[in-house]
Amino acid sequence: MEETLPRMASTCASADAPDAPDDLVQRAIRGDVTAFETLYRLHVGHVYGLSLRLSGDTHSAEECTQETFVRAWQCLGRFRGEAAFGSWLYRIAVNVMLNRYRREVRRTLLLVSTDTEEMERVPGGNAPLGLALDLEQAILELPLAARMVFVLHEIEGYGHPEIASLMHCATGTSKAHLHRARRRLQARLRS
Amino acid sequence: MTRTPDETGSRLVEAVQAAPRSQVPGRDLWPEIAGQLTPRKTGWTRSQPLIAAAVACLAIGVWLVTSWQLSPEPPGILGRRPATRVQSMRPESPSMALIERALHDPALPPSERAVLVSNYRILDHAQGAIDHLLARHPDAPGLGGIVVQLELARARFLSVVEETQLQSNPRILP
Repeated sequence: MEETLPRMASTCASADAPDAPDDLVQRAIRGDVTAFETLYRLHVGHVYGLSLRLSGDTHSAEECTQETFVRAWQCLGRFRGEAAFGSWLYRIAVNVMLNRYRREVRRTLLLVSTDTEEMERVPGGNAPLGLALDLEQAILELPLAARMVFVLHEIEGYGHPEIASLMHCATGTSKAHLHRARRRLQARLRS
Repeated sequence: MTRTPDETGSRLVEAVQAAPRSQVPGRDLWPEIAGQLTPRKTGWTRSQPLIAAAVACLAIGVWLVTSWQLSPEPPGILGRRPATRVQSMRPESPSMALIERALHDPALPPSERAVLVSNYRILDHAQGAIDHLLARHPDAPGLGGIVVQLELARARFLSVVEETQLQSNPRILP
């Protein structure tokens, strides 16, 4: 019987990085690049960590991290200030990654057309540097969809309805991906 | 050595709990990010050329009207009368209240405040000139069109003031 994994954090909470002082954010909104660089230094670890887990390779994670911060700069005028800046930034990172995921799915469907297993193929790429935990390596070896659901649900604290909405799938599909991910991870750790 | 399912599940739980939330990239990504950042433009910086163009057209129109040699025309030949003075810039109007709030907003940078004051003075002066024309030559041809242009410039000005106020005041994140 599978054990229910505890949530590590509330949705979109940036547990490791301290949130940015309000004056930093306001200065960045007014066009202060130095202030925005400080915001980058504060939050890059969290954004990159998420991107790495979701994408499975360092190159994609770096691209996604860059795209996240560039988009954040462009959309700073829309930051209203009720949620923490880190949460807002994190949301952008998730959307960037999911856009890439959806593009990958569409591309795979165009190339292969009917084989749904292709959507779950393990992408090639370099293993992240410096990761010693079996879990991290096992997550990277998960199929794409299962990996995304596992990371968003078990590590980032998203609920299935929200994941389903982000990934354009049914809630049941999200749950099935999570079940598959847990089964594979447990088998991997068992060996 | 094989583990029981319970031991594996517990190990997975422990591993997830211990997984770090953040990881520093292997290299500094900031130079590449900085290279893609376009200068952020505030409402005033973005809209000032448009306001200046609208006001310039307005000023040219006022000059053309005042330079015409007008001769009395029989009633009815000129057609529609030009629009009368619009209410939106009267001291007691909501638009003036918006402008006053913007002027006294402590978050508004001095440079932007100066631009706001400058554009407002131009519009106010143009309004005064049109009021004068309407009083002296209410049937002047083309005056209606100039009044419309003034209204468009004023609407654009108020839109920018409102947008600037929205940017500097936090709201609920959608």
